[in-house]
Amino acid sequence: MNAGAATPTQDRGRQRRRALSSMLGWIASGLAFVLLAFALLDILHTVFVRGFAALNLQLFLTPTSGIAGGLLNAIEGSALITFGALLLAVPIGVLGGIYVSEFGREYFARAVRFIADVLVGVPSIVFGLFGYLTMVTALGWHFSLAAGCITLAMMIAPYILRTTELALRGVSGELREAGYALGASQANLVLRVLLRECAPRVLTGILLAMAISMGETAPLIYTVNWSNYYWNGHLTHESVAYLTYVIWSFINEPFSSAHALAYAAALLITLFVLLITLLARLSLSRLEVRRSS
Amino acid sequence: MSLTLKSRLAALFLLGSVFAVCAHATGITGAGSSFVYPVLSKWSVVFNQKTGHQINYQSIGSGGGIAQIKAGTVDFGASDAPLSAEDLGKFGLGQFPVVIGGIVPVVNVEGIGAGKLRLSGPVLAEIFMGKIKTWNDPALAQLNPGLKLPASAIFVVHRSDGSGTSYNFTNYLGKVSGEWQKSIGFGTSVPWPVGVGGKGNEGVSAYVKQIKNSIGYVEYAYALQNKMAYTQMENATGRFLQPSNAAFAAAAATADWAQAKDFNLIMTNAPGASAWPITATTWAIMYKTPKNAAQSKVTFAFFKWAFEHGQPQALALDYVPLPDTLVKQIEAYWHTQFKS
Amino acid sequence: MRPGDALFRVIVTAFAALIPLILLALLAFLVHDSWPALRFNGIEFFTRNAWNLGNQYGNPVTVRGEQVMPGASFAILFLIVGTLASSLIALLLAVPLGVGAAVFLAEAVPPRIRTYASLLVELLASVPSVVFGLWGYVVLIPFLSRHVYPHMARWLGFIPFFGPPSGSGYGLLTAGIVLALMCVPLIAANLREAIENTPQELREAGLAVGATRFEVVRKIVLPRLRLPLIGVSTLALGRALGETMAVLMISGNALNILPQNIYSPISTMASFMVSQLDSALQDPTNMAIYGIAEIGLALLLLSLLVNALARLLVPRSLSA
Repeated sequence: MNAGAATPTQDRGRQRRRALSSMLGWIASGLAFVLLAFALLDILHTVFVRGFAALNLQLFLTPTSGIAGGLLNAIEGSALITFGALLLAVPIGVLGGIYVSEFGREYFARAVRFIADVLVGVPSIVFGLFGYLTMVTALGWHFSLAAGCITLAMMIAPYILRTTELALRGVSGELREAGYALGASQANLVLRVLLRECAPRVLTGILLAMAISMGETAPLIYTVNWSNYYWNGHLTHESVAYLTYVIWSFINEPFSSAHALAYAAALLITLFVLLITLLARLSLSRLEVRRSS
Repeated sequence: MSLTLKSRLAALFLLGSVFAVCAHATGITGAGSSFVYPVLSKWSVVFNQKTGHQINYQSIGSGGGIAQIKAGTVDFGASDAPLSAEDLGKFGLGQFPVVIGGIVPVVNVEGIGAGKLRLSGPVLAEIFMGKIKTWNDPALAQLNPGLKLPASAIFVVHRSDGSGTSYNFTNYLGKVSGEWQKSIGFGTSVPWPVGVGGKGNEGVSAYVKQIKNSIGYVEYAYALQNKMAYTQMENATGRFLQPSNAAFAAAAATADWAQAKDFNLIMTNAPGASAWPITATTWAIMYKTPKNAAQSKVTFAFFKWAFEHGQPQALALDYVPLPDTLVKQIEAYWHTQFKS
Repeated sequence: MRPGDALFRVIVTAFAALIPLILLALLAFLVHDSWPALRFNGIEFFTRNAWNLGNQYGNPVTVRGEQVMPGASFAILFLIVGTLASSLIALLLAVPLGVGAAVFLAEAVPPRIRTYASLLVELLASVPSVVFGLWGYVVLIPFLSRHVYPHMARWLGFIPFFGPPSGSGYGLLTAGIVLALMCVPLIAANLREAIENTPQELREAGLAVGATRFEVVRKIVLPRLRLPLIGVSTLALGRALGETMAVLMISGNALNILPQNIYSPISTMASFMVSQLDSALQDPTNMAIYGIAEIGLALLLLSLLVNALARLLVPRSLSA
């Protein structure tokens, strides 16, 4: 090794030190893992225990009323907002993802890819502010379902675009070449063959976007505000309720009835988001295994 | 000729009946402070049942209410702070108090229940300035000889949003502490040197309940509804008082309204012997020479009814109706200043 | 090219073009709506601690060409300090934790259970921000303020900014800790994948000359990943800068004051925008809303900068 050849004692000493520092290294990295796993489990434990304690049938039958009541209006509102956002974002994201994947070497495609990546990192509150300035105020819609849906759609469309692109790029080149060799048109090839091939991945991306959208609060505070009632069918000029607002504002009330609703809402949202994420990750890893085998 | 006359008469008759219908059920609009929104909406419901007139009040904040009455787009504005004489004169406006509320410090200290802890103005100011840092500080011990105060730090809770509650609270602190007035001042939102900020009365209460050994300030109605431990305060005469509707009314009665032109007086630190030192009111602002005499008349009728008969509704919502002496002063003010 | 293909191309290009349009719309409207505030505030926006809506009960006055309430000023130095300090603390905690967890998962955990074990770290990224805030509010802060911070202030007080008072738990360090937990999965997942993809020959070469397995990781595998680590840390920084709800619920909402130590309450640009919305809506001159728009614009530009930098360093796929 190095010039100053050590004595056997020195050598053993150094070896022992190295073994010790390596062991410390493993312990440290193990501790890091344990700390993080513990944090996650503690969060889940808190949400589940307090959330289940607050669950009862009434929650699913009555709306919120001030600082008590049920969660039905919030559940309905969250579902409406997410559904509306996906309705707008999925076509944009999937079709845009097709463009970036199939025409990927063009300058515009590279620009779109870069911008989509950058937009994914923009804070959601900025989207909310934009929605407030344009739709709530300038267009005069006031706090409304439409403003919330459009704002969230702007947020998740770039995300869906990138996951769709990655899914399509993962399809083997041979399939494409075979398709073109058989004389298929590009539209036919992409829509009928490629998308079908990678549909699980595209759907996974959409599911993850849905999880992101259900968990958002700040942009909705700026565009939808809050309502104690069910949706009355108006897209503009009327607010709706949503579960994440309950979590934030009801825990900020000094009433235990409000706290119970906050925990219950946290349980519902966390369960939903967690299940989707688990489903997505596990199915993705299973796809990996299938592909490499 | 007769046709024209007949048609003219018919037109006049139609117009007259339209006016009659209008005059019979007028719609009054008001806007401003959110503090009075609950009681104004309750009063307007009852008034509507009695007289058929509709009062439509929007709680957009005092600033918005002032802007709208100055623009003439509403019949009355409601503000948590009085307009200056200059302002009133410039626009031809008058103002008068409508309802009273008390602001109370609330604490979360083990073993100290509602109404047990005694505080004085200067001590309260020093706590909120961060000068008094622990509960067993000699200044606090001196005021509370029989009470066992822990040796832990005091955690201050204030408002993170702008509000009339903060305006009156900081106004009081400025009156009792020269240093507060100099370094921090008063307003709807001030640079609080210590403590965490909660949103709304709810936020402050939630924080106070959550943080052990904390102190905050909320509207009295809030402290009651949430069963919080409010404190006694030493008032301007040196007496220690429990907060109560009577104490707030005493503050309103003994404040020196006679000297205050257009009721331009912030009631904190009122001089009465039974007066609660942190009492606040909301002013209604109207035009002295109204644009629409009929609307103005109905508005005055509404307020007159509210002052003379609206006490039960106000009390039910934990507001304090104006004391009789003040109501008499206000009605005299109407007669002399307003042209209806 | 067939006509059907031409139509197909036009349609997909048009939809893709909406993405740059979103970015342009964000920039355009935020600049437009913060213009009055930009003119009114000038450079002082970034250098002073003075967010004041003015006398809400007074008459609007015209100052520097804009209508405001008397005494109004909008300067956010304390927000900039709060944002940068909390994100910095978050990174200082998240990078070592992320590297440690990634090493452990990639090297010490058997491949069969690796997917499930790494879920325990990666799921932290999917917990909604508001649920993090809830947990911080009801569990973390009581624990830290009672059992950790007082001891830290006492024993670590010789380090500047670590001394007493140890505060109520709502403050800078707590915000940094929660932000770190939200950003760690990004770092850990990326790094774990990168470690797993290290060519086996390099490892074998290291082992052949007598290095322990940990030394192989430390001296051979990790140094190669310096650049990807910087890239993914920049991405994590971008996330930390923009986090809103969790910070809003646990940071103490300071106004116009700089933190005096790491336990002091702070506000960040993002959390301030939410906590001040109601008050700003009551300003009849609307200057408060324009001021919030200016904060939003600053936040947008900051995040664009950080994210663009990160994407240039890590040109690979996106990891959520």
